Amino acid sequence: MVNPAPGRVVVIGAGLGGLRSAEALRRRGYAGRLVMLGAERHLPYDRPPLSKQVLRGEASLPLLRAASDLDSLDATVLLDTPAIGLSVDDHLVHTATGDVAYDVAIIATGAVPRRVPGVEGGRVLRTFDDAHALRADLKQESRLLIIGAGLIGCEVAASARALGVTVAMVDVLPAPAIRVLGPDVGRLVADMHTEHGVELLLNRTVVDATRHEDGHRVALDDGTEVDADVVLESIGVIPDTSWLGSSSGIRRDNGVVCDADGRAAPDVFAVGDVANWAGHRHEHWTNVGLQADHVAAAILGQDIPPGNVSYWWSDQYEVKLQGLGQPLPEHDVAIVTWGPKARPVAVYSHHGRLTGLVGFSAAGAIMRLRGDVAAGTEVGEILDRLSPGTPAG
Amino acid sequence: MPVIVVDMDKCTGHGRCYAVAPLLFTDDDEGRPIVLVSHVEGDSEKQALAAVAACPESAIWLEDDEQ
Repeated sequence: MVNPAPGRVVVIGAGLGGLRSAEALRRRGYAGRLVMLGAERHLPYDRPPLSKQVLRGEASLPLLRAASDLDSLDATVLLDTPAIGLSVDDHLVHTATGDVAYDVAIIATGAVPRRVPGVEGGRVLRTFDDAHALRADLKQESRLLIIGAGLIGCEVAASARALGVTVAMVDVLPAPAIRVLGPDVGRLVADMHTEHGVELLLNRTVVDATRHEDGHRVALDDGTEVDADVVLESIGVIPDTSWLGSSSGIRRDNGVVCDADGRAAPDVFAVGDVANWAGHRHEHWTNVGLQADHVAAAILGQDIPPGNVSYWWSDQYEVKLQGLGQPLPEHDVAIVTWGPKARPVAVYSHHGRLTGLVGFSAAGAIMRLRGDVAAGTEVGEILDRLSPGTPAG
Repeated sequence: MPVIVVDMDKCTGHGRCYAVAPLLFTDDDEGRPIVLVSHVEGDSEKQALAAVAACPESAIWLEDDEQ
Protein backbone atom coordinates (compact mmCIF):
# COMPACT_ATOMS: atom_id res chain seq x y z
CA MET A 1 0.00 0.00 0.00
CA VAL A 2 1.49 3.31 -1.03
CA ASN A 3 0.56 6.25 1.12
CA PRO A 4 2.32 9.53 0.56
CA ALA A 5 3.37 10.74 4.01
CA PRO A 6 1.45 13.86 4.98
CA GLY A 7 3.40 17.12 5.02
CA ARG A 8 1.81 18.36 8.23
CA VAL A 9 0.07 16.48 11.00
CA VAL A 10 -1.87 18.54 13.54
CA VAL A 11 -2.59 16.81 16.84
CA ILE A 12 -5.51 18.40 18.69
CA GLY A 13 -4.90 17.83 22.38
CA ALA A 14 -1.68 17.71 24.39
CA GLY A 15 -2.54 15.05 26.93
CA LEU A 16 -1.53 11.40 26.87
CA GLY A 17 -3.29 10.74 23.55
CA GLY A 18 -1.80 13.74 21.81
CA LEU A 19 1.71 13.03 23.01
CA ARG A 20 1.55 9.30 22.28
CA SER A 21 0.27 10.06 18.76
CA ALA A 22 3.20 12.38 18.10
CA GLU A 23 5.66 9.86 19.57
CA ALA A 24 4.24 7.00 17.54
CA LEU A 25 4.49 8.98 14.30
CA ARG A 26 8.14 9.84 14.96
CA ARG A 27 8.96 6.31 16.13
CA ARG A 28 7.51 5.03 12.86
CA GLY A 29 9.71 7.34 10.84
CA TYR A 30 7.42 10.27 10.10
CA ALA A 31 9.69 13.23 9.25
CA GLY A 32 7.15 15.89 8.30
CA ARG A 33 5.85 18.79 10.34
CA LEU A 34 4.09 18.07 13.60
CA VAL A 35 1.93 20.57 15.49
CA MET A 36 0.32 19.86 18.86
CA LEU A 37 -2.46 22.08 20.23
CA GLY A 38 -2.95 21.96 23.99
CA ALA A 39 -6.02 23.48 25.65
CA GLU A 40 -4.31 23.73 29.03
CA ARG A 41 -1.29 25.84 29.94
CA HIS A 42 0.74 22.79 30.96
CA LEU A 43 3.07 20.62 28.92
CA PRO A 44 1.73 17.06 28.40
CA TYR A 45 1.25 15.46 31.80
CA ASP A 46 -0.05 12.21 33.16
CA ARG A 47 -3.49 12.00 34.77
CA PRO A 48 -3.43 8.84 36.93
CA PRO A 49 -1.20 10.48 39.60
CA LEU A 50 -3.68 13.37 40.04
CA SER A 51 -6.03 11.39 42.30
CA LYS A 52 -3.12 9.85 44.18
CA GLN A 53 0.38 11.35 44.54
CA VAL A 54 -0.67 14.87 43.50
CA LEU A 55 -3.71 14.93 45.77
CA ARG A 56 -1.64 13.60 48.68
CA GLY A 57 0.90 16.36 48.06
CA GLU A 58 3.70 13.93 47.18
CA ALA A 59 4.14 15.09 43.59
CA SER A 60 3.80 18.24 41.56
CA LEU A 61 2.95 18.39 37.84
CA PRO A 62 3.58 14.82 36.58
CA LEU A 63 5.04 15.64 33.17
CA LEU A 64 5.01 12.78 30.67
CA ARG A 65 8.29 14.05 29.23
CA ALA A 66 10.72 16.61 30.56
CA ALA A 67 10.66 19.81 28.50
CA SER A 68 14.13 19.04 27.09
CA ASP A 69 13.00 15.55 26.15
CA LEU A 70 9.97 17.01 24.37
CA ASP A 71 12.30 18.94 22.04
CA SER A 72 13.55 15.68 20.58
CA LEU A 73 10.07 15.12 19.13
CA ASP A 74 10.62 18.11 16.86
CA ALA A 75 7.01 19.22 17.30
CA THR A 76 5.54 22.70 17.56
CA VAL A 77 3.62 22.62 20.84
CA LEU A 78 1.09 25.43 21.26
CA LEU A 79 -0.20 25.53 24.83
CA ASP A 80 -3.24 27.45 26.06
CA THR A 81 -4.56 27.06 22.52
CA PRO A 82 -7.78 25.06 22.56
CA ALA A 83 -9.25 24.14 19.20
CA ILE A 84 -12.60 25.88 18.75
CA GLY A 85 -13.60 24.26 15.49
CA LEU A 86 -12.54 22.09 12.58
CA SER A 87 -13.43 22.00 8.92
CA VAL A 88 -13.00 18.72 7.10
CA ASP A 89 -13.69 20.41 3.75
CA ASP A 90 -11.04 23.10 4.24
CA HIS A 91 -8.56 20.94 6.21
CA LEU A 92 -8.39 23.59 8.95
CA VAL A 93 -8.42 23.58 12.73
CA HIS A 94 -9.77 26.81 14.18
CA THR A 95 -8.30 28.41 17.30
CA ALA A 96 -8.88 31.76 19.00
CA THR A 97 -5.57 32.98 17.59
CA GLY A 98 -6.07 31.77 14.02
CA ASP A 99 -6.53 28.77 11.77
CA VAL A 100 -4.07 25.90 11.57
CA ALA A 101 -3.95 24.00 8.27
CA TYR A 102 -3.50 20.24 8.34
CA ASP A 103 -2.86 17.44 5.91
CA VAL A 104 -3.86 14.99 8.62
CA ALA A 105 -5.51 15.85 11.95
CA ILE A 106 -5.65 13.64 15.05
CA ILE A 107 -8.33 14.52 17.58
CA ALA A 108 -7.18 13.73 21.13
CA THR A 109 -9.21 16.16 23.21
CA GLY A 110 -10.16 13.62 25.85
CA ALA A 111 -13.21 14.10 28.00
CA VAL A 112 -14.71 16.51 30.50
CA PRO A 113 -16.31 15.63 33.83
CA ARG A 114 -20.04 15.07 33.90
CA ARG A 115 -21.60 17.41 36.46
CA VAL A 116 -24.21 16.58 39.07
CA PRO A 117 -27.31 18.69 38.42
CA GLY A 118 -28.08 21.11 41.23
CA VAL A 119 -24.69 20.98 42.96
CA GLU A 120 -23.16 24.43 43.31
CA GLY A 121 -19.49 24.93 43.98
CA GLY A 122 -18.58 21.26 43.69
CA ARG A 123 -15.10 20.16 42.66
CA VAL A 124 -14.23 17.84 39.80
CA LEU A 125 -10.97 15.99 39.13
CA ARG A 126 -9.78 15.87 35.57
CA THR A 127 -6.95 18.36 35.15
CA PHE A 128 -3.87 19.20 37.18
CA ASP A 129 -5.48 22.51 38.11
CA ASP A 130 -8.55 20.59 39.36
CA ALA A 131 -6.30 18.42 41.53
CA HIS A 132 -4.46 21.44 42.84
CA ALA A 133 -7.72 23.16 43.80
CA LEU A 134 -9.10 20.04 45.49
CA ARG A 135 -5.83 19.53 47.33
CA ALA A 136 -6.01 23.11 48.65
CA ASP A 137 -9.56 22.48 49.92
CA LEU A 138 -8.72 19.31 51.84
CA LYS A 139 -7.62 19.95 55.41
CA GLN A 140 -7.31 17.28 58.05
CA GLU A 141 -10.51 18.47 59.71
CA SER A 142 -12.41 18.66 56.39
CA ARG A 143 -15.46 16.61 55.59
CA LEU A 144 -15.43 15.45 51.97
CA LEU A 145 -18.49 14.13 50.18
CA ILE A 146 -17.73 12.21 47.00
CA ILE A 147 -20.66 11.85 44.61
CA GLY A 148 -19.99 8.84 42.38
CA ALA A 149 -18.04 5.77 43.56
CA GLY A 150 -16.32 4.91 40.31
CA LEU A 151 -12.58 4.29 40.17
CA ILE A 152 -11.74 8.02 40.40
CA GLY A 153 -14.09 8.53 43.34
CA CYS A 154 -12.58 5.49 45.09
CA GLU A 155 -9.02 6.70 44.50
CA VAL A 156 -9.83 10.15 45.85
CA ALA A 157 -11.50 8.54 48.88
CA ALA A 158 -8.33 6.55 49.59
CA SER A 159 -6.06 9.58 49.15
CA ALA A 160 -8.30 11.76 51.31
CA ARG A 161 -8.33 9.17 54.09
CA ALA A 162 -4.53 9.12 53.94
CA LEU A 163 -4.67 12.87 54.59
CA GLY A 164 -6.92 12.29 57.59
CA VAL A 165 -9.97 13.79 55.91
CA THR A 166 -13.45 12.56 56.89
CA VAL A 167 -14.95 10.94 53.79
CA ALA A 168 -18.47 9.97 52.75
CA MET A 169 -19.09 8.51 49.29
CA VAL A 170 -22.51 8.20 47.68
CA ASP A 171 -23.46 6.16 44.62
CA VAL A 172 -26.71 5.28 42.91
CA LEU A 173 -25.55 1.66 42.45
CA PRO A 174 -25.17 -1.04 45.13
CA ALA A 175 -21.34 -1.24 45.00
CA PRO A 176 -18.38 0.93 43.96
CA ALA A 177 -17.09 0.76 40.37
CA ILE A 178 -19.76 -1.78 39.58
CA ARG A 179 -19.63 -1.18 35.83
CA VAL A 180 -15.99 -2.25 35.75
CA LEU A 181 -15.98 -4.85 38.52
CA GLY A 182 -19.48 -6.28 38.72
CA PRO A 183 -21.38 -6.47 42.04
CA ASP A 184 -19.39 -9.28 43.73
CA VAL A 185 -15.97 -7.74 43.25
CA GLY A 186 -17.43 -4.29 43.85
CA ARG A 187 -18.45 -5.49 47.31
CA LEU A 188 -14.82 -6.38 48.11
CA VAL A 189 -13.87 -2.83 47.21
CA ALA A 190 -16.74 -1.51 49.33
CA ASP A 191 -15.41 -3.49 52.31
CA MET A 192 -11.95 -2.06 51.73
CA HIS A 193 -13.30 1.49 51.94
CA THR A 194 -15.46 0.76 54.96
CA GLU A 195 -12.45 -0.72 56.76
CA HIS A 196 -10.56 2.49 56.07
CA GLY A 197 -13.30 4.59 57.61
CA VAL A 198 -15.17 5.80 54.53
CA GLU A 199 -18.91 6.17 55.05
CA LEU A 200 -20.45 4.48 52.02
CA LEU A 201 -23.94 5.61 51.02
CA LEU A 202 -24.88 3.16 48.30
CA ASN A 203 -28.12 2.69 46.37
CA ARG A 204 -28.84 6.36 46.87
CA THR A 205 -29.13 9.42 44.68
CA VAL A 206 -28.66 13.09 45.33
CA VAL A 207 -32.00 14.90 45.28
CA ASP A 208 -31.02 18.30 46.56
CA ALA A 209 -27.90 20.29 47.33
CA THR A 210 -27.57 23.62 49.02
CA ARG A 211 -24.48 25.68 49.60
CA HIS A 212 -24.13 27.95 52.59
CA GLU A 213 -21.34 29.86 54.26
CA ASP A 214 -20.03 26.86 56.17
CA GLY A 215 -20.19 24.39 53.32
CA HIS A 216 -22.65 22.10 51.61
CA ARG A 217 -25.73 20.20 52.67
CA VAL A 218 -26.62 17.39 50.30
CA ALA A 219 -29.93 15.54 50.58
CA LEU A 220 -30.28 11.95 49.36
CA ASP A 221 -33.43 10.20 48.17
CA ASP A 222 -33.75 8.12 51.36
CA GLY A 223 -33.95 11.25 53.49
CA THR A 224 -30.30 11.23 54.57
CA GLU A 225 -28.68 14.66 54.74
CA VAL A 226 -24.91 14.93 54.47
CA ASP A 227 -22.99 18.01 55.57
CA ALA A 228 -19.66 18.52 53.85
CA ASP A 229 -17.00 21.18 53.49
CA VAL A 230 -15.99 19.91 50.09
CA VAL A 231 -18.05 18.08 47.46
CA LEU A 232 -16.40 16.12 44.65
CA GLU A 233 -18.49 15.28 41.60
CA SER A 234 -17.06 12.09 40.11
CA ILE A 235 -19.92 10.59 38.13
CA GLY A 236 -17.95 9.99 34.96
CA VAL A 237 -16.91 11.95 31.91
CA ILE A 238 -18.33 13.13 28.60
CA PRO A 239 -16.20 13.01 25.42
CA ASP A 240 -14.92 16.52 24.71
CA THR A 241 -16.49 17.17 21.31
CA SER A 242 -18.55 20.32 21.90
CA TRP A 243 -15.76 22.45 20.37
CA LEU A 244 -16.36 20.77 17.00
CA GLY A 245 -19.63 22.61 16.49
CA SER A 246 -22.24 21.44 14.04
CA SER A 247 -20.56 22.20 10.70
CA SER A 248 -17.23 20.41 11.10
CA GLY A 249 -18.14 17.39 9.00
CA ILE A 250 -17.24 15.12 11.93
CA ARG A 251 -19.96 12.74 13.11
CA ARG A 252 -20.48 12.46 16.87
CA ASP A 253 -22.26 9.80 18.87
CA ASN A 254 -20.77 8.96 22.27
CA GLY A 255 -17.61 10.68 21.07
CA VAL A 256 -16.11 11.13 17.63
CA VAL A 257 -17.45 8.31 15.46
CA CYS A 258 -14.54 6.39 13.93
CA ASP A 259 -13.99 3.23 11.94
CA ALA A 260 -11.87 0.36 13.28
CA ASP A 261 -8.68 2.27 12.35
CA GLY A 262 -9.71 5.43 14.20
CA ARG A 263 -10.64 7.28 11.02
CA ALA A 264 -13.40 9.85 11.60
CA ALA A 265 -13.40 11.59 8.20
CA PRO A 266 -10.99 11.91 5.29
CA ASP A 267 -7.61 12.78 6.87
CA VAL A 268 -9.06 13.04 10.36
CA PHE A 269 -8.48 10.46 13.09
CA ALA A 270 -9.37 10.32 16.79
CA VAL A 271 -7.78 8.52 19.74
CA GLY A 272 -8.43 8.03 23.44
CA ASP A 273 -11.37 9.04 25.61
CA VAL A 274 -12.91 11.19 22.88
CA ALA A 275 -12.88 8.44 20.26
CA ASN A 276 -15.66 5.96 19.56
CA TRP A 277 -13.89 3.26 17.51
CA ALA A 278 -16.33 0.97 15.72
CA GLY A 279 -18.91 1.45 18.45
CA HIS A 280 -16.57 1.20 21.44
CA ARG A 281 -15.20 4.03 23.55
CA HIS A 282 -12.55 3.26 26.18
CA GLU A 283 -11.31 5.47 28.98
CA HIS A 284 -8.32 3.43 30.08
CA TRP A 285 -4.76 4.77 30.02
CA THR A 286 -3.36 1.77 28.17
CA ASN A 287 -5.90 1.96 25.38
CA VAL A 288 -4.78 5.45 24.37
CA GLY A 289 -1.23 4.41 23.58
CA LEU A 290 -2.36 1.41 21.54
CA GLN A 291 -4.79 3.56 19.54
CA ALA A 292 -2.13 6.22 18.95
CA ASP A 293 0.25 3.60 17.54
CA HIS A 294 -2.54 2.10 15.43
CA VAL A 295 -3.45 5.52 13.98
CA ALA A 296 0.20 6.39 13.29
CA ALA A 297 0.57 3.14 11.33
CA ALA A 298 -2.65 3.84 9.42
CA ILE A 299 -1.55 7.39 8.55
CA LEU A 300 1.83 6.19 7.30
CA GLY A 301 0.41 3.21 5.42
CA GLN A 302 2.30 0.73 7.59
CA ASP A 303 1.19 -2.63 8.94
CA ILE A 304 -1.33 -2.21 11.76
CA PRO A 305 0.19 -3.43 15.05
CA PRO A 306 -1.51 -6.40 16.71
CA GLY A 307 -4.14 -5.56 19.31
CA ASN A 308 -3.63 -6.27 22.97
CA VAL A 309 -5.84 -7.52 25.76
CA SER A 310 -7.51 -4.56 27.46
CA TYR A 311 -5.81 -3.56 30.73
CA TRP A 312 -6.62 -1.08 33.50
CA TRP A 313 -5.47 -0.47 37.05
CA SER A 314 -6.48 1.52 40.10
CA ASP A 315 -4.43 2.23 43.24
CA GLN A 316 -6.51 2.41 46.43
CA TYR A 317 -4.88 2.34 49.89
CA GLU A 318 -2.13 -0.29 49.70
CA VAL A 319 -3.92 -2.29 47.02
CA LYS A 320 -3.27 -2.22 43.29
CA LEU A 321 -6.38 -3.33 41.47
CA GLN A 322 -5.56 -4.61 37.99
CA GLY A 323 -7.96 -5.79 35.32
CA LEU A 324 -7.44 -7.69 32.09
CA GLY A 325 -10.07 -8.21 29.42
CA GLN A 326 -13.53 -6.71 29.18
CA PRO A 327 -16.03 -8.87 31.03
CA LEU A 328 -19.64 -7.79 30.66
CA PRO A 329 -22.05 -7.39 33.59
CA GLU A 330 -23.86 -10.64 32.75
CA HIS A 331 -20.69 -12.73 32.86
CA ASP A 332 -20.06 -15.18 35.69
CA VAL A 333 -17.44 -14.43 38.32
CA ALA A 334 -15.55 -16.63 40.75
CA ILE A 335 -13.36 -15.05 43.42
CA VAL A 336 -10.36 -17.12 44.52
CA THR A 337 -7.32 -16.29 46.60
CA TRP A 338 -3.83 -16.52 45.21
CA GLY A 339 -0.35 -16.86 46.66
CA PRO A 340 0.96 -16.96 50.22
CA LYS A 341 -0.66 -13.61 50.99
CA ALA A 342 -4.09 -14.88 49.83
CA ARG A 343 -4.68 -12.01 47.46
CA PRO A 344 -8.15 -12.00 45.87
CA VAL A 345 -8.33 -12.73 42.16
CA ALA A 346 -11.66 -12.46 40.34
CA VAL A 347 -12.10 -14.77 37.36
CA TYR A 348 -14.80 -13.70 34.89
CA SER A 349 -16.24 -16.08 32.33
CA HIS A 350 -19.05 -16.46 29.84
CA HIS A 351 -20.36 -19.87 28.76
CA GLY A 352 -17.39 -21.41 30.59
CA ARG A 353 -14.76 -19.38 28.78
CA LEU A 354 -12.44 -16.88 30.46
CA THR A 355 -13.38 -13.25 29.61
CA GLY A 356 -11.44 -11.26 32.19
CA LEU A 357 -9.48 -11.12 35.43
CA VAL A 358 -9.23 -8.63 38.27
CA GLY A 359 -6.41 -8.98 40.78
CA PHE A 360 -5.97 -7.29 44.14
CA SER A 361 -2.19 -6.73 44.13
CA ALA A 362 -1.86 -10.00 42.24
CA ALA A 363 0.09 -9.07 39.10
CA GLY A 364 1.98 -12.34 39.27
CA ALA A 365 -1.28 -14.26 39.00
CA ILE A 366 -3.09 -12.36 36.31
CA MET A 367 -0.30 -11.33 33.93
CA ARG A 368 0.63 -14.96 33.30
CA LEU A 369 -2.94 -15.48 32.12
CA ARG A 370 -3.16 -12.60 29.64
CA GLY A 371 -2.87 -14.97 26.70
CA ASP A 372 -5.71 -17.03 28.17
CA VAL A 373 -7.94 -13.94 28.35
CA ALA A 374 -7.28 -13.35 24.66
CA ALA A 375 -7.87 -17.00 23.81
CA GLY A 376 -10.92 -17.52 26.04
CA THR A 377 -9.48 -20.55 27.81
CA GLU A 378 -11.85 -22.94 29.58
CA VAL A 379 -12.44 -21.36 33.01
CA GLY A 380 -12.07 -24.59 35.02
CA GLU A 381 -8.51 -24.87 33.81
CA ILE A 382 -7.81 -21.28 34.92
CA LEU A 383 -9.26 -21.93 38.39
CA ASP A 384 -7.12 -25.07 38.69
CA ARG A 385 -4.03 -23.09 37.83
CA LEU A 386 -4.85 -20.36 40.37
CA SER A 387 -6.00 -22.55 43.24
CA PRO A 388 -3.66 -22.98 46.19
CA GLY A 389 -1.85 -26.28 46.42
CA THR A 390 -1.45 -26.58 42.69
CA PRO A 391 2.21 -26.26 41.78
CA ALA A 392 2.76 -23.12 39.72
CA GLY A 393 3.86 -23.30 36.12
CA MET B 1 23.97 0.63 20.75
CA PRO B 2 21.09 1.74 23.05
CA VAL B 3 20.56 -0.39 26.13
CA ILE B 4 17.26 -1.02 27.96
CA VAL B 5 17.14 0.16 31.58
CA VAL B 6 14.34 -0.86 33.97
CA ASP B 7 14.01 0.87 37.35
CA MET B 8 12.65 -1.96 39.48
CA ASP B 9 11.86 0.45 42.33
CA LYS B 10 9.43 2.28 40.06
CA CYS B 11 8.04 -0.89 38.43
CA THR B 12 4.74 -1.99 39.96
CA GLY B 13 3.94 -4.88 37.63
CA HIS B 14 1.58 -3.44 35.04
CA GLY B 15 2.93 -5.98 32.58
CA ARG B 16 2.79 -3.62 29.62
CA CYS B 17 6.44 -4.08 28.54
CA TYR B 18 6.20 -7.82 27.99
CA ALA B 19 2.73 -7.39 26.48
CA VAL B 20 3.86 -4.94 23.78
CA ALA B 21 7.44 -6.18 23.32
CA PRO B 22 7.38 -9.93 24.07
CA LEU B 23 10.65 -10.51 22.25
CA LEU B 24 12.52 -8.16 24.57
CA PHE B 25 10.83 -8.81 27.94
CA THR B 26 9.27 -11.68 29.82
CA ASP B 27 7.59 -11.80 33.24
CA ASP B 28 8.70 -13.18 36.58
CA ASP B 29 6.53 -14.77 39.28
CA GLU B 30 5.42 -11.38 40.57
CA GLY B 31 4.42 -10.02 37.19
CA ARG B 32 7.54 -7.91 36.89
CA PRO B 33 9.76 -7.85 33.82
CA ILE B 34 12.90 -9.74 33.00
CA VAL B 35 14.86 -8.14 30.17
CA LEU B 36 15.65 -10.78 27.55
CA VAL B 37 17.55 -8.59 25.11
CA SER B 38 19.28 -5.59 26.62
CA HIS B 39 21.04 -4.06 23.62
CA VAL B 40 18.67 -2.95 20.88
CA GLU B 41 18.90 -1.40 17.44
CA GLY B 42 16.72 -1.07 14.36
CA ASP B 43 13.41 -2.89 14.77
CA SER B 44 14.21 -4.04 18.28
CA GLU B 45 14.93 -0.43 19.28
CA LYS B 46 11.50 0.55 17.95
CA GLN B 47 9.92 -2.22 20.01
CA ALA B 48 11.86 -1.07 23.06
CA LEU B 49 10.59 2.49 22.53
CA ALA B 50 7.04 1.13 22.33
CA ALA B 51 7.62 -0.53 25.71
CA VAL B 52 8.98 2.75 27.10
CA ALA B 53 5.80 4.53 25.96
CA ALA B 54 3.58 1.74 27.33
CA CYS B 55 4.97 1.86 30.88
CA PRO B 56 2.52 3.70 33.18
CA GLU B 57 5.26 4.27 35.78
CA SER B 58 7.94 5.62 33.40
CA ALA B 59 10.13 2.86 34.77
CA ILE B 60 11.77 1.96 31.44
CA TRP B 61 14.09 3.99 29.25
CA LEU B 62 16.95 3.61 26.81
CA GLU B 63 20.47 4.74 27.54
CA ASP B 64 23.43 4.99 25.23
CA ASP B 65 25.88 2.22 25.88
CA GLU B 66 29.11 3.80 27.12
CA GLN B 67 31.31 1.47 25.06
